[in-house]
Parts: sequence; structure tokens; C-alpha cells
Amino acid sequence: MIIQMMQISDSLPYNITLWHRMKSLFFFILRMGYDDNGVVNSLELEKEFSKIISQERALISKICFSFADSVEDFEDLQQDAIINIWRGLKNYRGEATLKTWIYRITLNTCLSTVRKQSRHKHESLEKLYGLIDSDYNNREEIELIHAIINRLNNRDKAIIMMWLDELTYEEIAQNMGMNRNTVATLIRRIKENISKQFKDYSYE
Amino acid sequence: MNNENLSRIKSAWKEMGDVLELSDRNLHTTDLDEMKTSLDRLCSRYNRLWLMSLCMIFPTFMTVSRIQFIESAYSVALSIIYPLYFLACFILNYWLWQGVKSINPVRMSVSDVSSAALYYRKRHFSFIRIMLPIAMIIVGFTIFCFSDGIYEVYAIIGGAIVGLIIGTLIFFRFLNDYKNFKE
Repeated sequence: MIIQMMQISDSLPYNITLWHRMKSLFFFILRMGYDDNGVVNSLELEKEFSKIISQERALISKICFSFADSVEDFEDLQQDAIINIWRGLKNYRGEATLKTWIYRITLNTCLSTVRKQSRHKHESLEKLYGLIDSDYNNREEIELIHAIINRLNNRDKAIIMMWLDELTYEEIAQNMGMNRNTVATLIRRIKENISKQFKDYSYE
Repeated sequence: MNNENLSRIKSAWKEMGDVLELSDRNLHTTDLDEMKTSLDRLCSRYNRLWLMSLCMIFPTFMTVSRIQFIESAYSVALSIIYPLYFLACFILNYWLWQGVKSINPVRMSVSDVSSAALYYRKRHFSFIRIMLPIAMIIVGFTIFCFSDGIYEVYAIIGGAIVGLIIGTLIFFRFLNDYKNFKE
């Protein structure tokens, strides 16, 4: 075995022996946890994360609120979304705007998250609506949006939320993994669907 | 949709985030590194299930094949059926585990995540629909094989009832965990 290793190291060019390579790899691994730059980077990342969360908390909350059926649901979704944003931040290179990126991760979290179905849906919805600021005048509007959005399927729900937040068709298409024309067609259909639902609710 | 309604919805949507009372639960990044999302927990559940199924294959074979007091043909049949059943469970759970694990909310597009979540949920219920009747047939066959000894039959029925209760509880936990994914 040793002879074999020596033979391999002899065959390496530029006098770099296998031993040298192994030694440098060992020290590289050893340094990984204690690298000064690494510490600075991780601190910067934490700062960046706190900034993003404080800036975009409202956005994350309203997406999670729209998918939630209860207060517990809402809090779990927010927590999961924040965890995923933290996990993704390390690889975020600014390919999309921050808002678009946050939208994608939060929507994906809400769509992939498994949640407990409430047994008393009406009561839990009442509690959820209790989170809306009591001084806010358009409380009913928010309840109405929640009800209308919740009747849509997941894909339409995601698209209409981004459209309501005035993301461009290109940004919506990028997040959805669709082409722009498909998104435009879908938005038109969803608007018609919402229109019908709006009428139903106003008759109710 | 008339423009008035549309602008009402848009303005309410924009204000929504600011008028929600948020919990003051502050998450520190060191906690976030260790915390698991619901999707991670579902993955771990499938992971446990395939491991359990895998661990059951050999012991069931060893136990059932050594039973002396039933006809040898039945003993052979049972020692094939039980490991095969657990092997099927292992394959299905492993496949579901791999599938759910592949869902990456950070990297994948929204439609991919949505369709994958729906797909694996549907497959999960299809597998239950297939495996549950098979399990009942196997229990029925086991009772038939042991029909000479009344106490053995009681034991099998008792075991089946306990197994059914545990299985139903796990099934309902899965049902609770999975949100209704609409098409």
C-alpha cells in the first residue's frame, strides 16, 4: 500500500507529492470553521437577513395569512418561510429582485408545507381574522380577499397574489416557471373567476 | 371585473401586511440553522417508515418460516407473503421519501413545487388504497392458516385490531398533516 502510494506520488508533476496534497487538504478542512473571512461573512449574512426580514415582514405575513386557515397555521407558515429564506440567502446572488425572490420562497413554503386541518374551520377563521388591526377600517375587505383567494387553486392563488402586488408579468412568469403569455392568459381567467366570486359574495 | 372592485381589492391587499398583528417571536439565526420546517418533518416521517419497513423484512421471514404447528405449505406461503408485503412498503415509502425530499422551496419554481406536492400527496393516498386491502387479505389468510387453534385466531384478531387502530391513527395524522391540495 505504502509502496503504491509512493509510486503514485512519484508520478505527480511539479514535485507535488500526494502527501503534500493531503496535508494541504487537511489544513484547508481545519481552517474552514475558523476562517476570519468566514466569521465576517456569516455576521454580514446575519445582518443582511435581519434587514430583509424587517423590510419584508409585511409581505411574508400577508402571503402566509392568505394561505392560512387558523392562527397556528399562520404562525407556522411564517416560521417555515423565514427558515427557508435564511437557508436560501446564502445562495442568493440577486438574479431576481429581492421582492420577487421572497415571493417565490414564501409561496413555495406555503404550497409545500403540510398543515393541520382545523376541525372547527369557522371558529379558527374568526380567530385568524382577529389578527387584523381592530382600528383598520377596511377589515371586511381583507376578510373578503382571504375568502376569495382561498377558493382559488394553488397555482391561481400564487399568480393573483403576485399580480395584486404589481409584480411584472415577466417576474410572475420567472417565479412560476412559465412563459409570459401563459401568465397573461391565466391572469385574465383568474380575474374573471374573481369577478364571479365577487358577485356571489355581494349577493350573499 | 369592474375597475372599482379591482382597485378596492388591490388597495386592501397592499395594506394587508401592515394591519396584521404579528407575534413578537424573534427567530435567531443560530436557531434557524437547527429548526425544521413542516416539509422536513414530513420527510423524516417517510424516512422512519421506510426504515421500519426495511427492518421488518428479515425478522418476519425468520419468525413466520419457523412456525411449526401449521401445515408447512402455509408456513412457506406466509414466510413469502409477509416479507414481500414489507418489501413493497419499503419501496413505496422510500420512493415517497425521495420524492418529498426533492421538493426544494428555495430553488424550485412555484408551479414545480405546487405540482410535486400535489403529486406525492395523491400517490401517498393511492398507495394506502392499494396496501390496506392487501394487508386485510394477508390477515385473513393468516387467520385461515391458524384456524385449527382458536387461541391463535384470537391472538391474530387482537393483533389485527391493535394494528388497525395504530394504522388508522397514523393515517389520520397524515391526513391532518396534508393540507387539501386543490388541482
